[in-house]
Amino acid sequence: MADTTLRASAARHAGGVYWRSLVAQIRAITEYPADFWVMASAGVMWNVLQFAFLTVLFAAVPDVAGWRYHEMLMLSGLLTVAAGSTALLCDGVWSTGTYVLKGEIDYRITRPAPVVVQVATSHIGMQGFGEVGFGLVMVAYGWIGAGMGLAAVPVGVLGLACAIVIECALITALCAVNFWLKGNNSIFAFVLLDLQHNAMTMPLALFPAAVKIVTMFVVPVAFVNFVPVAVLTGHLTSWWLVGPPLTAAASVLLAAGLYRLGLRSYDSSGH
Amino acid sequence: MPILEARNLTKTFRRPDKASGFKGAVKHLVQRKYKNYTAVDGIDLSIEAGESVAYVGPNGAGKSTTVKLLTGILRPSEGTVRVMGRDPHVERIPNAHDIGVLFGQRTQLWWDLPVEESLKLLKHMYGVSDADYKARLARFDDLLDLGEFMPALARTLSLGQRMRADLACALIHAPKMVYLDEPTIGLDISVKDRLRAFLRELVDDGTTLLLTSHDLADIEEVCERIVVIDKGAIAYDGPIQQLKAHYITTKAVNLFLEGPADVPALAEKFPEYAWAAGEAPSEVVVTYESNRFTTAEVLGGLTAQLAPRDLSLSEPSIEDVIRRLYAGELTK
Amino acid sequence: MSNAFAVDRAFAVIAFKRRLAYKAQWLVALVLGGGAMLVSMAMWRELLSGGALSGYDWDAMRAYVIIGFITATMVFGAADWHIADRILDGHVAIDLTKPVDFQRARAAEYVGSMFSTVPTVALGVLGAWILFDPPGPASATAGVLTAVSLVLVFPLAFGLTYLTVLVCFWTKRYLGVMWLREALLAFFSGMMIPLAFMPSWLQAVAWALPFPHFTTTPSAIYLGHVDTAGALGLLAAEAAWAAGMWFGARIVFNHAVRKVTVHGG
Repeated sequence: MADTTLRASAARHAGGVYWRSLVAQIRAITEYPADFWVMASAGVMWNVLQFAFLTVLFAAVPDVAGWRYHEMLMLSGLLTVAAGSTALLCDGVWSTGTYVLKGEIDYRITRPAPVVVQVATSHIGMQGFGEVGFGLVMVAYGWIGAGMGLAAVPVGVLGLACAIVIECALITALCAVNFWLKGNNSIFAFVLLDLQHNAMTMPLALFPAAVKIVTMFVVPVAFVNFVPVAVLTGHLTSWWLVGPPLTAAASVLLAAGLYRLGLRSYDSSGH
Repeated sequence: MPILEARNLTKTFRRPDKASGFKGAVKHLVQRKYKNYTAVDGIDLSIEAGESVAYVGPNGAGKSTTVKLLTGILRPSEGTVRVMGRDPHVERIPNAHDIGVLFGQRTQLWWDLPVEESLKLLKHMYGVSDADYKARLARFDDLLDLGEFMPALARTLSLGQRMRADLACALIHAPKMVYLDEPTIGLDISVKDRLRAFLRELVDDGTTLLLTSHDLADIEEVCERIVVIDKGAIAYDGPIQQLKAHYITTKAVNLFLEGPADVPALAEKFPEYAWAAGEAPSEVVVTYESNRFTTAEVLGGLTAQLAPRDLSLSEPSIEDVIRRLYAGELTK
Repeated sequence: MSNAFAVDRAFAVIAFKRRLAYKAQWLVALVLGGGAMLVSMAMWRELLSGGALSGYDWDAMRAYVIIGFITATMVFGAADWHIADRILDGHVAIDLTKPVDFQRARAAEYVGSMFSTVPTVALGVLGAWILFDPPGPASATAGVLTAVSLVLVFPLAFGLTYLTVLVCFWTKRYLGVMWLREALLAFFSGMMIPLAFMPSWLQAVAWALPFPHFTTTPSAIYLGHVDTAGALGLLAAEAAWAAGMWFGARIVFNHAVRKVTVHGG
């Protein structure tokens, strides 16, 4: 019993540290107004052009593998919101490799808060504001256009929440690889995000069965955007809805475990 | 019970042993050979609450690695560390509340934030009450003049300002055990003096301090006990005064004569002392054994006979002792 | 002649070698470029199974996607970061004291780094050739002119990249600028979807920009969508853009450098 209260208070403390650090980063943005606008508009631009791509494409075709225009917009939009959220919520994890190389994890170990929380909030990706903002617009536009009503909103919110958690956790897990593979660049996380933007904005039916298996059960990115949108639009049965929360839980455990293991093998730099 | 206790503390790093170039990399993939390198080799160290300990050694002796082991940043390969009865690596978070750490080579300030914001974040991380926070900041401001750069972004600070701000960061939660790794590195004399005065006050207030430094003046002015480490092992551990008394067996006086000094003639006239030429032609350095002669008796005799224009006494310096310790001239 | 370009060649060779040293880079470029190509192929095979759309049938589209892969790999794989870094960390002030022309030296480096993408391009094209068996060029002349248009991509890519890198004189970071450029390039070049699918006003916008020459020009020539005269016209436009951006960049740079001197570097 005492143990549980202790854990709860530790979690509350970690959460407090997390939000305070993040808010401080957001406040720091005002120091670089030019960069904020460049980054935010870069975030919007990719998605405006993705929107334009789908609009141009669907002027010529009625559907892609059975998916219609508004459904594809939701697919793209949800992925954009999830990816943009990682920039807003845990952009610092991309620096894990650099911090490990330079010994900058040291101080964070000597402070009374989880190291991953301190690393995640060490930076904020300003493009995230543009991505999340415009991604939500795409989802809403697709939602209305696909003729879905308010009744499906709870499912949509669940899918959105799980998408954000899964994406943040997978990026964190892949960045934690740099505890062992020493290098500044988080190549695996970068490759994942790029492949997601290419492949996961398309219906999975386009691809060979192996792609489906990998994206659902090996690197479960299908549960970020494809599964929830497919359930909402009736391409998959609602049984699939158990997938996103389960995947979210598993991804978080994986990320936390990898980070913990990484810290055990951390050997700082210089002596 | 000591506040910090390390037993047989050992850290061995494993380095890939590979030839350079592509061939070497491929070969390493197949064979996986490693070289072991022991940075800290079986150190026993026990520090009582309230002590101020200097941890000294040449570059690469294992100073920083020891500090990282004591603070829980690294896991020991062998041996144990207990800080207030806890293993700092296993009980990381409870331990973190009781310790303060400063690495002079790095900052813990948030680079893009004002110093004030960094301190506030740490205040919340350590759960410091508003009243304590205010009182401590006021005191730091008094001693370290933080006020002038509190609103400045960390990346715009000078090195001296950065170090003072970092010191405030390390102490904002009033830790009982403080580790300072090279806290005066790269600072100019006036900032160094101020930092040392601050550290003396900290020790007087009962904080336990472990300090590593290349600047021996830091050590003499702040610490009572000195631990000398060389090649990963302890070479000396004891009071600084005792180290001096034991190993500083000679003292020196610089005499400035009226005319040019004739060193060989003086050496012949006073064979009980050692004579050497000084920097100026009229200057000579007289070295005598401190257990045979008192300074008064040496000065009395020489001033009467040579009537020097001026003279100066060199303070016995721990620097020479440690230099000789490193060189392996002295043993424990 | 060879002496006049000795310095440029040296810069290009150094950049090429530096780039080759990052072996992971090759693999990443291949995975990303190859992945994007496979996704495109999967989509178009499905969409074009019922016949041609906007003048592209499945045969033509296979060649189109491969050409898009080639230019994308060349442009996205080149080393633009370290030009940006030189400006952001103030190194540019030191470069200006050296007896080499800053823009020309960076151009040589950039072209050298573009050459380092050749292995990726070759491997990707070989794989695509085996998997998708694309049709050959519309004619031998078309084949030669396609090659010319791909060669012109080198100065064109440099001009575009360099102009956008110069924005770093006004910002603290390069990442956002790079993303903006890459997004516009991917869309208006026709890499995401051929320009022929777009409404005519959007096509007009695209053709008013340098981007179509990165994919649409080489593929239009290759597929015989334009005749030889048309092809030469496109090449002339592409060359004009390369030259225009080269001289435009000089003006912007001179303007920006005055800012550096004013701020003391």
